[in-house]
Amino acid sequence: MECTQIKAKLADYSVGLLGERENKMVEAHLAQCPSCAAELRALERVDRVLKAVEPEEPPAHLWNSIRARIEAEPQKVQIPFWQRWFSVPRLALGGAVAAAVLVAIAYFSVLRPPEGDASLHENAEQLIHTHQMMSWGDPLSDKAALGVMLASRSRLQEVP
Amino acid sequence: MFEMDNQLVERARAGDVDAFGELYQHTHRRIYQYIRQMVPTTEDAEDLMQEVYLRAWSGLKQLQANEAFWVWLHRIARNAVLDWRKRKQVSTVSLESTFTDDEDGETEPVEVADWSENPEQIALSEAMQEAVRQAVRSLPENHREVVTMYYLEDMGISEVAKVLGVPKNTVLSRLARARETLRRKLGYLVDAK
Amino acid sequence: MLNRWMTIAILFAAAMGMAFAQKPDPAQRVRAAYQAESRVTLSGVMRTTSTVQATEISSEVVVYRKAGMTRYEYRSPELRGLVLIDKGDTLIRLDPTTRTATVETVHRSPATVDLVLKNYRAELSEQEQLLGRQTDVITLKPRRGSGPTRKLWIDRATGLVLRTEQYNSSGKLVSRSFYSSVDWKASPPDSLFTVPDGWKQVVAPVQTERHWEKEDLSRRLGFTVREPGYVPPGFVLDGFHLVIRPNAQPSAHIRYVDGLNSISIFEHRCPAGRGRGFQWGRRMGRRGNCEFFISSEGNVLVKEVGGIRFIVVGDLPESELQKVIDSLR
Repeated sequence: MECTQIKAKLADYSVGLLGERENKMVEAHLAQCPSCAAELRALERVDRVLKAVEPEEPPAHLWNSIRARIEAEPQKVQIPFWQRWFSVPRLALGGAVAAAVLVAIAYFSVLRPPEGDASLHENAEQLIHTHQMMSWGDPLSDKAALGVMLASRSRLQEVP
Repeated sequence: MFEMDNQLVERARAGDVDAFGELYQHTHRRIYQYIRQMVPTTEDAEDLMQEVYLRAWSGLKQLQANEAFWVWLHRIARNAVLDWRKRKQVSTVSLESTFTDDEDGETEPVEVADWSENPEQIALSEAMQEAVRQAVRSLPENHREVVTMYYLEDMGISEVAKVLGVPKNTVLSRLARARETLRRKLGYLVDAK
Repeated sequence: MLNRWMTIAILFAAAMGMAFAQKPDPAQRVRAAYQAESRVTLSGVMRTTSTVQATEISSEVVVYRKAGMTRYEYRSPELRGLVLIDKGDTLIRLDPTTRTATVETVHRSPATVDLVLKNYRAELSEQEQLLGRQTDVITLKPRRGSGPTRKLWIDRATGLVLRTEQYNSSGKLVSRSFYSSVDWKASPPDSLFTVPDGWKQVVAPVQTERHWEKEDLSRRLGFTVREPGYVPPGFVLDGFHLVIRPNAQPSAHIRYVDGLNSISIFEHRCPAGRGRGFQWGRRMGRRGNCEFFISSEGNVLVKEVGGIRFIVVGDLPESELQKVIDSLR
């Protein structure tokens, strides 16, 4: 097959759209043609470049605006305060840097990872726990209060 | 699949704004990537974000019990974009062709990617990331959509197909065409030295 | 002869005058408070209130102190009989519902009273009577910029802190603890400071491990641990630690302290997203969108660059945290 014909099929080949027979033809050609092989590599690099793009940061204040508009509507049902164990009372999201996901947060809520691996919630809580418990040894720390924080945090983890 | 905690969705459906806030947290980054790529300016994107989530809030009652929240929300986002276009009478060719379609690659930024590094992971500078995003924005809409969803929102082919309501092969075909176009536009980036 | 009596009278008057005019040196009271913690023996009842995730939690706490050890028994039903035993270098947590004792190593902090007084000004605001005793009310305020504030009611006689109020850098009361009754003559038995017989002992899942050298830690974690180029004035390096978390990436922990406040910088690999490659099976791992939120008080900043997630935690204004995280390269 001609290089021009092969090159036209390379993109489809790269996403797995070709049938078995065409796959074999392309692969046979690629084995002998450095030019087409280089072209395939270029296409693969497009894939990697796209994967390396970082997400753009949404504006911080958006939730507040959305929430304000929701609350301006007549409410459906009031959820009792004691049910809101994991609620986020307010959020303050901050500035953006294109090359990094930069989030300034006063209160957060926890995201469950798409993979279903171990709970990110627990892991995040562990880091906060570590941060707080390290201050146990600082001079004149209010240990009675720290104990409450320690206990409450781990108790919240038990709530299903 | 980006599955939301069912309890969260139920609570939001029952009127718990805080629960809806959590759903917002879980989804807003990806939805923003989508909207930001589909409209020209950040101001438009912000307005549309509000529109999308307000529609989602009012529409929660219509969400079927077995319907995935994420796919449902993303369809709302897509429809909001389509409605926005109709309102603005925007043509289907992207307005934002600030990225010149120069096959000789004369518009390349100064830096280039170093492909000799770890083949698994590359890191792009800010300038290059923006250049890539611009290149994506200059794609025709239906190609731009699938690239945004697959790469920037990290969705799988079946999810993309579900949101768009098309067969998987259609999604793959659009991805392939997009790759070809981007290979030309990003030639300075992907050609071997 | 009259001169001698007059001299005595004058000296006596001067002494009385001095006694009335005498105001304690606030810094000296703070030092006394610090030392009293390891010296005082008592049993008492405290009331403590803290804000945890926007909820106020209050509890009565029965306290026993002896030979530098303290036992805290939390009486609030919400806390389900929690007991904490602080033995100085270890902290034992007793959970009566499971009859389990969790032992954690207490981190040795380089923060000393000297560091506190260097970064915080001790002011005597007033003198109050608490539990029938004279206390000096001392407020520790940051010398520079904004930061947390601590108000201490320090017993004149023993130096023990009878009441503490802690305010964050926004001026919000974060916690409050005070003795509602004290038995100064108590002699708590040693058994109160040990794990009860027949209880299960476990080591806490998150152990603050040893101090590491940065290079060793980098090698252990498989990436270069970054140090911040900027740290707010007054903070000193506590050290580099390794945080092992079950089912999660191990994390570097760099801690800075200024006496009352602390900054934690956590660094670890972003969890791998779904690998996705070309259809014929070549898997190119993707870093993925590591979206990560934490429930907490105080301020937290998260940055992801090149597959590493940086988390900065501290009671500082956002702009300061931002300077810290920006300086991590």
